[in-house]
Amino acid sequence: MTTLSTSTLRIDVATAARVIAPLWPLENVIAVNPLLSSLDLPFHHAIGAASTWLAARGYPDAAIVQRSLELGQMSRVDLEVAAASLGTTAEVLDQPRARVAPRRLRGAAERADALAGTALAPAVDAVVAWWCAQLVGSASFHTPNRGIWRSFTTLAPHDRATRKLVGRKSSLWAALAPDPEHSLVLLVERLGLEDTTILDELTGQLARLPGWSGFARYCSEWRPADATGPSITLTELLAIRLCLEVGALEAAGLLGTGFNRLMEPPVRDLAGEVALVALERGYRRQLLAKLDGSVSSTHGVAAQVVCCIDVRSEGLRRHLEDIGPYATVGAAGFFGFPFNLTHAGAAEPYPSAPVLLNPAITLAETAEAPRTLRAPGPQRATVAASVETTTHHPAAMFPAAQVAGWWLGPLALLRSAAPSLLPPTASNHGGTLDLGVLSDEEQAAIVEGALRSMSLTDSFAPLVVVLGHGSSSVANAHGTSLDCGACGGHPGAPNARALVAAANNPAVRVLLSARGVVIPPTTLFVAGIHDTTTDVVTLFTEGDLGAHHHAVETLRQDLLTAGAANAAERSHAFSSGLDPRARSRDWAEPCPEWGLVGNASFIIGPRSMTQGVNLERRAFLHSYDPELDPSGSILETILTAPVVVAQWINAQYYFSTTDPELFGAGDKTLHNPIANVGVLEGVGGDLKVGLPRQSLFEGDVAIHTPQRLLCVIEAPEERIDAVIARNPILRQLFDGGWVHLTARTSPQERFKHRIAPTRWVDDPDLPENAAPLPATDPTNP
Amino acid sequence: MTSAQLLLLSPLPLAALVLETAGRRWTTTRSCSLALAAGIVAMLGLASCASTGQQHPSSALVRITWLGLVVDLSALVVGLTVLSYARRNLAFDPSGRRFASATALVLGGTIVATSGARLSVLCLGWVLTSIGAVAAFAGGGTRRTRNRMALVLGLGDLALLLALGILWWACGDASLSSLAGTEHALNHHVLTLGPIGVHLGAVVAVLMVLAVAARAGQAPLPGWLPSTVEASTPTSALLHAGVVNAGGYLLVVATPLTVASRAGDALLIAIASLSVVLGAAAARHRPDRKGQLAISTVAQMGFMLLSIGVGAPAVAIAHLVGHAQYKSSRFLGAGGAVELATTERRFARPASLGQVPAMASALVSGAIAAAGAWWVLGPAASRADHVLGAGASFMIAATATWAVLAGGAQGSLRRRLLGAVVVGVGVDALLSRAIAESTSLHLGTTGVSLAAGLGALAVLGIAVHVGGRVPATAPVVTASLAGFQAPIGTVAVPRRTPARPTSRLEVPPARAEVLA
Repeated sequence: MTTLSTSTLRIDVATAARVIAPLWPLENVIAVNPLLSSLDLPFHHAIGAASTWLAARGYPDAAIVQRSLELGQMSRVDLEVAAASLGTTAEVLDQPRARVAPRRLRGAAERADALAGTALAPAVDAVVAWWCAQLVGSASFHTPNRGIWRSFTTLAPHDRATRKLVGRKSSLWAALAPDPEHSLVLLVERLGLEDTTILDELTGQLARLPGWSGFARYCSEWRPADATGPSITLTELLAIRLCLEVGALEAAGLLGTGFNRLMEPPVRDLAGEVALVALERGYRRQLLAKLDGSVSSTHGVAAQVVCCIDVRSEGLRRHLEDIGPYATVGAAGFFGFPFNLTHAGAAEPYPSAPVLLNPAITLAETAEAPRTLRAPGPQRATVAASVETTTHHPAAMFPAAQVAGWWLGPLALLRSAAPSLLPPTASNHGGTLDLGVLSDEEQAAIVEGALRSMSLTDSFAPLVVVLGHGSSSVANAHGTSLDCGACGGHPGAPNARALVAAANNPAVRVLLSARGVVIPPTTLFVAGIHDTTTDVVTLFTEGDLGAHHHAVETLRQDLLTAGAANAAERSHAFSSGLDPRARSRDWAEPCPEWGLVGNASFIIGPRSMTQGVNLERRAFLHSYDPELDPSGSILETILTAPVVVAQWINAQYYFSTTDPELFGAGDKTLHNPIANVGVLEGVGGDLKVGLPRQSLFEGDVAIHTPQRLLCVIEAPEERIDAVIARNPILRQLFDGGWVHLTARTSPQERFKHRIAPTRWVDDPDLPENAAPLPATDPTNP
Repeated sequence: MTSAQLLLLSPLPLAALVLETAGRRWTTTRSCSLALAAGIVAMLGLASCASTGQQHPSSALVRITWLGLVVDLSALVVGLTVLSYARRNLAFDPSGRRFASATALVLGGTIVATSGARLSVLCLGWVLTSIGAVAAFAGGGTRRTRNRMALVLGLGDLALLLALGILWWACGDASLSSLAGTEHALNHHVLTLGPIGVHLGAVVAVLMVLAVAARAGQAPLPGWLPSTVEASTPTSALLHAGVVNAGGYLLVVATPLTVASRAGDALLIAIASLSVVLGAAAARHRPDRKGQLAISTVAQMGFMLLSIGVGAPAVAIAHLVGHAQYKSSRFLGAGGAVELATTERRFARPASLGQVPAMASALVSGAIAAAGAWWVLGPAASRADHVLGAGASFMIAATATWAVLAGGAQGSLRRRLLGAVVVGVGVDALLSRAIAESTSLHLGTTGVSLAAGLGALAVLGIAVHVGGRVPATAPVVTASLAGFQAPIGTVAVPRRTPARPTSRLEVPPARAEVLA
């Protein structure tokens, strides 16, 4: 054993963190692929690797297979073919599935437990999770200038449960350094590990509490440096964890016992693979059968409506096109205009952009702050702060409760018994944005980029509507998981407004025509928001619309009609059939809307490819005209940004369904919020990750069908191959089997399936075309 | 049919609800309408009884009082809110049905307890409510917490039944309206334990206070309340429909047996003060929203019991009702905490509650003023306690107004809030007044209560003043002392030191199975 340096340990900590995915706070939920760090491995290998430390269940279970068969999402034939392609038979599904357990012992305490039959590791978990909640969630608990680690070392020796764990007279506390990094070095040395096992040790430690570790990884790697609010770094978390673990081991006299490695042979879940492949085959078969037609009519279009690629836009677009002469366009919901937004009256901006982008500009609202208590705004913030302080302060809490009760009791009865009598849930969709920080030239560049990325560069209709989307629910801790992912878990209205303001700017239009995008002077851009919970569409119009007045009012009505039709369609997706509009104002409702449940495909092509087809709100739709993109640069943008975000979303829904205990946020009726960081399930325990059970399941029935994203592109195969070849992230996704790829050059040709780099086949289900099987376990060199 | 008989019918729809939920898929509107029917029948019965001003014969089992009506109404509002909430919230939860039955049990128990004319009927309702509470929790919580809850509530109920037994032995089945007489009868008996002689009256008082303290989750007793947030949100809210707060009613109607005894009063004040201080401190430093709410209930119930201890029953009943509504509503909306915290941070305005010490002074001086006025006027006016009950309540409410307004409210918001608070305070004062009118009860030895009450309020004031300046370790120590760190208790820490293994490759049987 040599003396450790902090710098080598820092690398080990960062590497160990790869065992879990970062966990965004509930303030703005970002759907993350839980196996994010294993993207460099093929899909099936990544699931095997996840079982090393986390015991993850990565495939659909028998109940999901059964339900899909009943719903006709796939047939017995799909199962047979899938089994044959994997070199087995469908009978494999009837055999009992292999039990999943972590293949390695995670940390010193677990090793000691395995040896001595004690239960130290769960005890350490409980105390560490409690301290994390305490230090992160309780703002008044530690002063900001003291930091997590100093608070911990000051407070912990006085805590009864901690003393119970590490013993009353532990010598540990005196031995710690004043900063977490040096303390971590000391603790690792105290564990007496060999240098080669330190990384494994840290990985195991983090894997025992995936929730808090994930949040620490977010704080260490993704959190903006100037962000305020609760945080904990990986080093701090590991130092706290090791401190308690070393203390517990010393108190139990077990320090330095145990053996390092217990390996089970890797278990391949063949039944799961068959089920997954069959589900994907069934969906692909039915989808591609629907896409064989090609309807196209761009004549006499009254308005073009640009919607987010989100699967929930699909229903609205379909119903709107049914009603009148409208054309719809799909684009990522930030509409190519990423920025930090300062709401009117806000103290700090937030990024209204995909997390993969780091916006350089900050826009502020020119409007006055909303003067309502119900929508997020300064007034609501003041009330929240007053209520918080008043109900917590010993002098005020007693009379405050008594006086407030006379109001809150009858109100609570109304809210519970008759939520439909309540006014609609209010959201802050902001006001006009000040684009003054951008020159006309810069604005023109942004508008051009946005329009080109959605292949909307000529034949503009008199009205172009840019529709962001957001959700509306009350008392919903996971509310932001229903908002626009392309806007970083926020409603997309501000981005729509920004694009519209720039596109309506006459100076910008002049510059645009010089760049080859000619917007006729008779064309008006209008921003709007689609509330995905209620399916109510609001258009933001100000002042006199002149000649467009009639068209805007007609469209407003048609959008409401289309929304109502979509809401009626969606209400069938709930077994209780309750009107989705009532759900948005019901505080008792654990499932206000189904969100992106069912998401299965990502279709890149002109709308004529999908027009008139009911895609059942399962497809992301991005508009793309291969004629306008000979170089493939637009396709490259679509594949490297929206498709990547969609894959994260798809993977989150997938794994929250296949393993709700590990990758799901648990039962919503038990949720117990920790500030705006996350939720616990009940009292104590780890921070929950992923989506709540009620967002994916009805009782025990999984409503979401877990399957990998199927990307359908209308473009020449060579162009697609070239784009993939020059982007490592795309090579990982497509070559690693995380996303399936199907393409056709033109509507007249048949779809071909990409099964390997530059290898396109007609039928991917033939055994010789199946993905190569894992030859060796990549995690066990 | 007399009104009293009509009242006895009210548990019938609740019983029907139990049957209904036991048999069918429970996401029907029927369960709610049944509960609603129960509430309406009960209210009609109570109201008609109260309005006819019916005199109850001393042999009656049931009696109607405005006090009972107020407590009932509060419990029914909470119960109906929770039931209609749970109908959708627990729609796919296998424990939903059981929860509905348990709710019916809790509400039925509360109605029986508050309409009993005899202590025995009250105790029957009390025990029913306890059983309902444990049943409601058992659907969602862990076995460990359920056992703890059942143990604490069971011991409390046992203490109450013991007190009832002693009373029955001494004076027969006592009517609540003639308790003052039984107190004298009790004090003829002296329990001799070696050199110490204890009046039976004191024993009964102590037992009843312990029963109330157990139900209210008070501090020195093992804490069961904070761990109940393990169960679903509606369960936590349901506890305010007469589970944690019924003790306020019991102490007020049985004042001659409880607060009138010095031992009982002293014990009550001691327990309640401790709970107020520990609960308020611990709630502040609890990170999880539901945990904060549950622990603050301990402090709030301490405040309610303290009000009774210092001789302001009207304040206690007004607090019982107001807090039940407030806390159940906060629990049901707990999920909104995330959005509120985000809004609060994103739209941060400098919190101007910096004048908090001033607020503490306002409360302490208000309490001293109320106590002083009471001391001056109390002996003079026979009904002074009622008037002062309302007065003290009003003063407290005025302090609340101040606190809310100090909370950085501004502009139109301030005006609107002011309006809401003025109306709220008015309602509060009127209701407190009505409650005070209904509680024409003997209030015990003024001297003892006053001294103890002032002492307790002084402790509270000091706690408030020092609140911001205590060493950071204090909350941890108090939380540990009060047993409020339930989450960790769920894991048993092994204390034995195992023998060193002979071979480093020896694998215990459990693990070996996994490996095989």
